[in-house]
Amino acid sequence: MNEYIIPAFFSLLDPMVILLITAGAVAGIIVGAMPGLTATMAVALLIPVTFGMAPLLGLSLLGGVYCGGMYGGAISSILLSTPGTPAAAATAFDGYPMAKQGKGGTALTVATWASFWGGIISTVALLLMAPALAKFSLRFGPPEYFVLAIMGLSSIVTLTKGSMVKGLLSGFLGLVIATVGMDQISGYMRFTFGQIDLFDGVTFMPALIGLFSVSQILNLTSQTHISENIDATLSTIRRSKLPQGMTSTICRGGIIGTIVGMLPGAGATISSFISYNFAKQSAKDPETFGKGNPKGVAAAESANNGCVGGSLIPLLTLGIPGNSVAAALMGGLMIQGLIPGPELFTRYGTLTYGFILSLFIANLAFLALGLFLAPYFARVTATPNALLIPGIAILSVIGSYAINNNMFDVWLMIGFGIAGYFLEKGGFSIGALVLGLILGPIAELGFGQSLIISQGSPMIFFERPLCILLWVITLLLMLPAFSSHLKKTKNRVE
Amino acid sequence: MTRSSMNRFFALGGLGLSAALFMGAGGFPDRAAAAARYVFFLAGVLALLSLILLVQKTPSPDSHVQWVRAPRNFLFAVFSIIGYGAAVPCLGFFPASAVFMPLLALLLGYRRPFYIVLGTALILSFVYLIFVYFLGVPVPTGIWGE
Repeated sequence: MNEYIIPAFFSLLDPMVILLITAGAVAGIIVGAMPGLTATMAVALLIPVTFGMAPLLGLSLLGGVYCGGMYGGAISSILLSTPGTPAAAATAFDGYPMAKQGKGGTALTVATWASFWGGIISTVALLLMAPALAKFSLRFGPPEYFVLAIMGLSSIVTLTKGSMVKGLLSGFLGLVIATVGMDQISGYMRFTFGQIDLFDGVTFMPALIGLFSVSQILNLTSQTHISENIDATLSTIRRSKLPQGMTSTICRGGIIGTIVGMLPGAGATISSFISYNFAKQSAKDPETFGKGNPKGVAAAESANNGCVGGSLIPLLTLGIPGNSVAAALMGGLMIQGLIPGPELFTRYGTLTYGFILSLFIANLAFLALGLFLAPYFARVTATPNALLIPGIAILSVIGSYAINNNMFDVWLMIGFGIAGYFLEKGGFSIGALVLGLILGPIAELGFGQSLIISQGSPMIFFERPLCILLWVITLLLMLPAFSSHLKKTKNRVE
Repeated sequence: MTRSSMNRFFALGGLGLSAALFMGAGGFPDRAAAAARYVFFLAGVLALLSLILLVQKTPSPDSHVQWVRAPRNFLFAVFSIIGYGAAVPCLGFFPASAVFMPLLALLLGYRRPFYIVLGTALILSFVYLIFVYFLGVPVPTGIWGE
């Protein structure tokens, strides 16, 4: 490996490479922060641009976009409760309350550092352990995916602040909505009412924008500013520091992101929810989560950026992309004549390791940009709501429309927004609903395929070693939440 | 509306949804038997949870639910957004947005024309630059388009 790394390192000293990585990170941050625009879209659009470039230049640009895009989602999620990417949905749970308390700058600082370290951890894993980890990811079959989805769903217990029944109802409502559209196994159309736009199911991004963004702007109509503490001047925001005690949360998030990221189809959104769940369950003050605990932001952000390196592990070693951005990156590799697989690490070793090392620079680029720009971004919370509300509405409409260039998605977004507002006022958990929406298709497909493999026997979910391990982790995650809930109920009765 | 009557309302809604899901899944063809089983399972759990919510006692005293804190602004926002959604395909995205943003800002009580015009111009320029110029998203052009 060393014979490739040293020349790869020197190839990165070309100022053009550094410039392109930085440009990619800037573009990624902008795209990531805009609801409706995804890193996949940006990478796919840039592939033709990279065609005429030297391979390392092109790949470094795409890597920069990927890293920046994953981080950028946190900005709008924290400041406006509008996740720029689905992976930043969990960031809003604590990030937005922090912004409302006038700590938007701190929340952005935490998100930037957590994203940076999450990205670094996963890139180190990609650099040192890619082949071994790729073999591990291949051991995940349909039963493991189903139990992984259950593990993700266990976060409902964590996300629920009030009534557990309402939290579970929200999660199951999300699972029900996720059944709309074509059944992935039989191809049968369910609950589409003849509406062609629903054949592929309820488009996730408009639903997410509606539930988080529109429901929030309706909430904001009763206030003059997002932040209750608008006295925070630029200089005080600039002095925002990373709170103490984040190290273990960030490291754990980075590792979770790397592991979940390398499982094809799982992705950054699930990893950020699982990491958030872990952070809350292991915290001494779990009741502060959802009310502006910076550890919630750190857990979600380190995990979603941890997915960057994780998703590239099966891509570079086996040619299996871990997520849609990695799939678009695969196009970028192939357009340069690089076929993913073992040859990438031998015949094209210098180039491949150069690309991996460029991800370190991309992480450094968005770290510098994020820390420098955080105070300016945070000023958004001082804008009067009367201007912010129509502004966010315009971004929500164009963001929902841009997914499929379809007005149906705009109406879906508005519908979800109004319904989400009333559900939240009724004590239901929007986070749990979103989780059900995300995990529904994965759980259903894993469940159906597993039962086909086992000829109908549910024992398949309890016999395989990885399944047993995942069940144990799931139970361990749920026990503290249930016991504290029971204690609260008992105290209330007494 | 009190919290307990709200819970009953949501519980009845949940039971209604479960019944609709049961009936819907009952009509699935044989080839989609696995999909039907999954929907039956979801409908069953949804019904059970709704029943629990229906019979569950609300902690006393039974407080009133405040659905909307500023009804006037809330209604302005809801109807403006719906109207904006309806206007986009007719007027086109940019003209509809150029009307929507100042109108809603004024309805919400903002009275600084300079900042309204500046804010509208900034948002729309940003959207044009990113979505239209760089990413080539074909935004609705309405009556002005081909």
